[in-house]
Amino acid sequence: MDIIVVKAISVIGATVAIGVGASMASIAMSKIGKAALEGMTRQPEVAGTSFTSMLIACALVEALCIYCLLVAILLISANPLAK
Amino acid sequence: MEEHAGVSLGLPVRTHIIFSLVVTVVLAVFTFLVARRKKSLIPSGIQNVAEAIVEFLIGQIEPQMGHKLFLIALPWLGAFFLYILTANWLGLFPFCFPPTSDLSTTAALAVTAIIGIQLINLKVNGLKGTLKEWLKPVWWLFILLVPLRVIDNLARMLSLTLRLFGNLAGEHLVFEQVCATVPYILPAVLLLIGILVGVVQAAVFTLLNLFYLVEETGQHPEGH
Repeated sequence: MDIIVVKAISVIGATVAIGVGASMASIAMSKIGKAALEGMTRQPEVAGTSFTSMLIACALVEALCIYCLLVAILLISANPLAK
Repeated sequence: MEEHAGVSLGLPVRTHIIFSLVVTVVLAVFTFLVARRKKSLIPSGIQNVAEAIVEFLIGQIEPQMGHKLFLIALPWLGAFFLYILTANWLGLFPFCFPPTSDLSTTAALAVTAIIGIQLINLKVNGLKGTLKEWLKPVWWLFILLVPLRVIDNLARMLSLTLRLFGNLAGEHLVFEQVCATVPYILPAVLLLIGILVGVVQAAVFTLLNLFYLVEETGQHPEGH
């Protein structure tokens, strides 16, 4: 009975983790994309550098979202509290 | 995350080790095919691919490392880029498992990268130069600054590992589930996304490696 409660709450926790992580990451990436596009249209000659920097910044933000995804997967499949 | 559909060999060796060997064999065959033909001034075919990769790397490394250290940085970063690119793309073939979707491979790559950057620092700046670099602003704050730098490096190891592992393991997991439930059009779309993710993650690992190298050896990027 205890195990079922632990599993149920950890499923809710996993949902919240990945939901919040993905939404915050998408907000941040939209800001990065907006800034990069504005820079590229103002100065077309730095478009290559700007695009590369945008990709690196996106990957850094996405890493934080991946940490949330890992917590969610850990809670669902390899939960240390539900043996 | 150890079981995955389609590949379970009954050997006492873990699967990602075998596929790391496959990556090495693929890279060796590619290099042999490039080096064997007569190199023309106007590249075509496989020489074009190799030149595109090297030109991309040179275009990123040259402005930041300067002309002297660029010859040390290019093989270091090129090895990482080619290995991670081939390892990521290996997961798109049927019955294959990308070795970077296992935590061991990505942890090994990240630890090698960070420790190797310190070793390059030692080689380039010498022992005294490295000590000066580590005690950069004022030497009598070393109680604070050295642990901070060590924790910084450990955090970089962790973030490099988890970024590469999470992206590839997640993509591989999603691909397996989709192939099991909707095996008609969706796997093709996911393969295209997998190509993009493979290139982007390899490029991000290499460019972060370059950035850490520039920072740890104390170079000043030109034109900034």
